[in-house]
Amino acid sequence: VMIYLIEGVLPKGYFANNLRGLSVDMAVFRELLRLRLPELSKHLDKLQYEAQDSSTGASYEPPLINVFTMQWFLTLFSNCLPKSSVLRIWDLIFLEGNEILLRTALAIWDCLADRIMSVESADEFYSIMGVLTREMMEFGVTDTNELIKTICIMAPFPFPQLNDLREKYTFNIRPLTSSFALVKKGVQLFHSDEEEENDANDDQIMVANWCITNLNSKQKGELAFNLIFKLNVRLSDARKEGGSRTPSPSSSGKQLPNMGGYSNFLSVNSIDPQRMTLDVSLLKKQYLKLKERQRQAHIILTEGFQHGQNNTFSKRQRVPVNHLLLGKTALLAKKPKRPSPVLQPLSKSGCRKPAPERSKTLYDLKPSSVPSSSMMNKGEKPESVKNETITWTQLRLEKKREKLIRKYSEPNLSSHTVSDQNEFLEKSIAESKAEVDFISFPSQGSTDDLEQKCSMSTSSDSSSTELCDEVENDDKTDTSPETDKSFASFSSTDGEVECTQASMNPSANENHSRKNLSEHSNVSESNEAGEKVSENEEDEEKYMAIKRELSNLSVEECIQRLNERISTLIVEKD
Amino acid sequence: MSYAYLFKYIIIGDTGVGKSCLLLQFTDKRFQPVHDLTIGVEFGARMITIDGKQIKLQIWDTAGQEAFRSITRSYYRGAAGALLVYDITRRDTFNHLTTWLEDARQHSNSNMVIMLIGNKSDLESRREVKKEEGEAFAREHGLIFMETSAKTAANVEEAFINTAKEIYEKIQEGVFDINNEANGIKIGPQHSPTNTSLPLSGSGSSQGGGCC
Repeated sequence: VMIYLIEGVLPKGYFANNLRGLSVDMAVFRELLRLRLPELSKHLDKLQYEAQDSSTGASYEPPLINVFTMQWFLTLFSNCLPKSSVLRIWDLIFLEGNEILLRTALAIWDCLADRIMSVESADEFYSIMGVLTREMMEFGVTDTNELIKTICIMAPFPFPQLNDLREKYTFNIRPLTSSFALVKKGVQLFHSDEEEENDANDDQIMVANWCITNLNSKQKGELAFNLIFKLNVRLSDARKEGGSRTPSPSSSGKQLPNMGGYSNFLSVNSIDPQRMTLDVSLLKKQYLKLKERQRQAHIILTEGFQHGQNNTFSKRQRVPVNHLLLGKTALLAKKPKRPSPVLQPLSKSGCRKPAPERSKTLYDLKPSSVPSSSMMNKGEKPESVKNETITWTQLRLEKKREKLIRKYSEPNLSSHTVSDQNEFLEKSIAESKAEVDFISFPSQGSTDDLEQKCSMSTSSDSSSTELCDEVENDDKTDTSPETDKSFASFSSTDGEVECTQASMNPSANENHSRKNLSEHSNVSESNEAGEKVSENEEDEEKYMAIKRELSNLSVEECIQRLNERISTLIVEKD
Repeated sequence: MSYAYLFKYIIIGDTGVGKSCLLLQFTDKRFQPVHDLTIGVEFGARMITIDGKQIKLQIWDTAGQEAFRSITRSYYRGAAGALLVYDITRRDTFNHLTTWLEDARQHSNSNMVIMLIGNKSDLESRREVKKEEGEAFAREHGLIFMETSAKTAANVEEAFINTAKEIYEKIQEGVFDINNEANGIKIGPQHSPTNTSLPLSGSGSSQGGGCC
């Protein structure tokens, strides 16, 4: 239950990662309070800022409600409400998910609002809250039924705007002292921020060092170049998102296709430390997402494993993903940020990457330690996930057949299943592999890059493998430059497919529509096919041929083919 | 409750050294042997009297656990005094003092009065850190030093009150700009000192206390 709660119900990073998830939620909650209880919120803000005005703006008071909401959220209200209420709320949490936390907190503040409105200073506020919390613990804020009712009817489920807000703050909030950024925009930031900047810099430098260390242990040249290039692209990306706040040195970030890159990177780093902090947080978030996807991928892989022949996974290793990334970086940098569609089991690419055999340009990106761990994974995976996998597959198939739009979107479901499996995965494989992959991943590309990369690689996977089936006996051969070129165009086609679909689901993270459902299934189904094919040692040449073919297709055609392929697969499966 | 000044305190130190117990002892005159983890920050308040002036101490008790560090840091700022606590029966808590001190100095204003407290002085038999060591550390870093016991209440009052005195002296000397609340000092709602003839020994009403 505990694991389910933490992994499946609560937002990511609630108890880990310096309580980042919690910081995000506190920020989100302040926003919600502003929307729902504007008067109270305004009053509290006034109290908070009073201290600053009198002191020429140099003073600092953290958001007043933080102390309390933090405790409420972390203890799921067990330290502030009587047991009867707490149990009811927990029921709701299990049923409706983590938004109940926010709802409950809103309801409580609503009840307390009257008395809080009467206080005139931050100091008084804390005093009165001391009294109020004790009262609440003993008698509850209000009748329990009343409270539950308020919680449930205050807004339709899921809470409107919640996802957007969470997204927003996840990307905007800074991991350290989140409240700083919110409370003291601009002027007063400086001296306290220097330290934070230092922290951020340290992080970045650590990443950089890590990269460099790895280059030392592996092929130096290309790796260094790739990493640095990407880091810089990421930087400029982030800067673009940040709007015109900083005089953008992004051009310097892009002039890097040479080995002088590292020093350049460092200079960029020092120019823009504030954005770096953001980047760190982005990376952290990305890390979590990757972890999730990695798990999904394990399942999918196993599925394919059972479905197809018992060849080693290493046969599936393909170069194109990486080429894709390389070819696309510049283009990607221009794309606007969008919420990442969780549905793509990105880690497919992660799994492929470790292959040393095919190493072309990008495999060099892998630290030397990876191959061993991935080998280990290959060995263990099938047994450990087998059981769960079957149910998961069936579940998905069923869903697909029914084509239902459900309240609980598939990613939720899958993440639940996934979290059920955490024990297995964590204990056996996921960790070792996941860790290596993740660490290397986020350090390589920007969030955008990663997302694009994952979505593209998956979609290219699916469509190209599909085509693989069709042209199985095709014996075309290619020279690699051509190949690369065709792949670039191919990937852009696919990228568009992805984008189209992603744009249909702005809140892709939690609110997947039917389309996404089927798309997701598509992907995994075709992945199975892909495994079959590739395990048959269908190889690059063919693959490239298909890709060229695909690049001539329109987006619609691609989708259609995918769908066809899927229906065949379903039939086969039945 | 009217007061002439309000001082903000912050209590920091490793987890389990007795920060919350010190606060509880000071505000409620109670001791709780069970170790309840502090979540984020908690606060307590109490009135004391120094030099005939009512002073309200608003005390932020922070969680010692590493995970909360980023959250508790935001409370360093705007504190006039800090109680840096270690446990005399656990040498590692003493060893971590430098880290804490750096952290505190970094995130707070430079004038903050820091009092070093070696807690659990009642457990003489299990002592791992000599009093002299604590004194030496305090001298080296310009801190005030005391050994206390939240259990027997020995020196607890004194620790808080001495810190307040130090702050008060600094105010008199003009080191603290009392109009700048970033220093963690606030002038009370009524500027004229009330006719206070209360004894010095912290007879003020205690209010607040942990919020759970």
